[in-house]
Amino acid sequence: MFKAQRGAALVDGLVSWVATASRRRESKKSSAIDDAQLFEQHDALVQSSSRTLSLLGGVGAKATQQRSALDGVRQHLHRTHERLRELKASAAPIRDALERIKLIAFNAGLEGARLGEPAGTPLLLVAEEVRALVERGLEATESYGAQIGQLNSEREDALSDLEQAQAHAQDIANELLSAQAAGRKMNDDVQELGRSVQKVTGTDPELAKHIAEAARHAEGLLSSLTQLTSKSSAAGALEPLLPAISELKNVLRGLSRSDS
Amino acid sequence: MERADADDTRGKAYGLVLEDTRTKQSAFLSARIAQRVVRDANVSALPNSRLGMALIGGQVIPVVMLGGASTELIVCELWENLTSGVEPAPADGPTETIAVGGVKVLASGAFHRLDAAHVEFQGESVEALDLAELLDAME
Repeated sequence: MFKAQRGAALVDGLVSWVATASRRRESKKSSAIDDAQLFEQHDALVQSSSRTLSLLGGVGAKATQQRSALDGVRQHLHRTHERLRELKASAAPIRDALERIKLIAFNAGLEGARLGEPAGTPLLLVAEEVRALVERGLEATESYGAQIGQLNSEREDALSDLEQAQAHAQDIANELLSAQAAGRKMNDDVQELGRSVQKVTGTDPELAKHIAEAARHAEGLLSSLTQLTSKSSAAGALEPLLPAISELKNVLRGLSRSDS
Repeated sequence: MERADADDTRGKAYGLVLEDTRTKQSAFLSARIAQRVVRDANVSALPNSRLGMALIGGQVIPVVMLGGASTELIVCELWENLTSGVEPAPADGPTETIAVGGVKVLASGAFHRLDAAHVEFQGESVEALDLAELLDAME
């Protein structure tokens, strides 16, 4: 019973002291919280700045890969040009051979014509058949050459588009370099801002955080103890808390003296 | 090659249909005159003459250039008193070999004879080339 009364008195005293201390510290507490919020915002700014720099670095790497890929496409197109030239060149001997076969067909037709009919008829028929086949072959060769020309034209269009894409990629790379430089500058500025804030507030960032955290805990403790003291039946339950509350009171008193 | 019915031999003319490479005009040359077609023969121009010279089969042959540049030459055998038309009358006696250049051969064989001076080729009337007159004009 005695212990319960003593505990209740201790709690009452502590609550009273905390309330008084809380009022006394109100102005300093809000200042400390403001400082802590400022430092937290600064930390967030530092993290955003670092993240931005990291993202810009990633985009720069992707842009480099893109430029490398475009260079690869350009080389492919150059090789395609060589292949098309070889294909076009390969059509020339085919055409020449067909022209020679056509000549043979004409001469066979002439021989058949001199023999007259019916003696020359088989020769005339063969000559005509060969000539017709040669004409088909020549038409196919012409079509082949035209398709090669069309492919080459499309290749040139693709090369033109590629050159534009490469120019755009170069622009993007230049813009990224500028953005990265700006990001680094921003990071430096943010660091400088942190130092300026520390100088202006005169508060150590870590200390400001601890003060704000302690203030939040103190408010929580005050609220809980106020609720406990309003219930007389709870007095006995406070007994296990007494050593800790007593120690806390001493600590707070010490802090209070150092604050004042 | 334009072929007629087998029993209609009298209505046919045998030879070549040519095209002037410059004017694109077609002409018929009888197989009695035209001997063979050669290509890629080098034709050398003769100064102050419309004739050229070519080495064909080891023989230097005069070349009559009808049109512009061409890769084909038609080697022809001419004889004295050569008659014009799709079927010039053959004659005994010495012959002269010449080549006709500046032309492109379109077809060889048998063609429908329209009249003494014309054959039909691809639905068109083609006049026989009068080489004798041509040579006379060059002299």
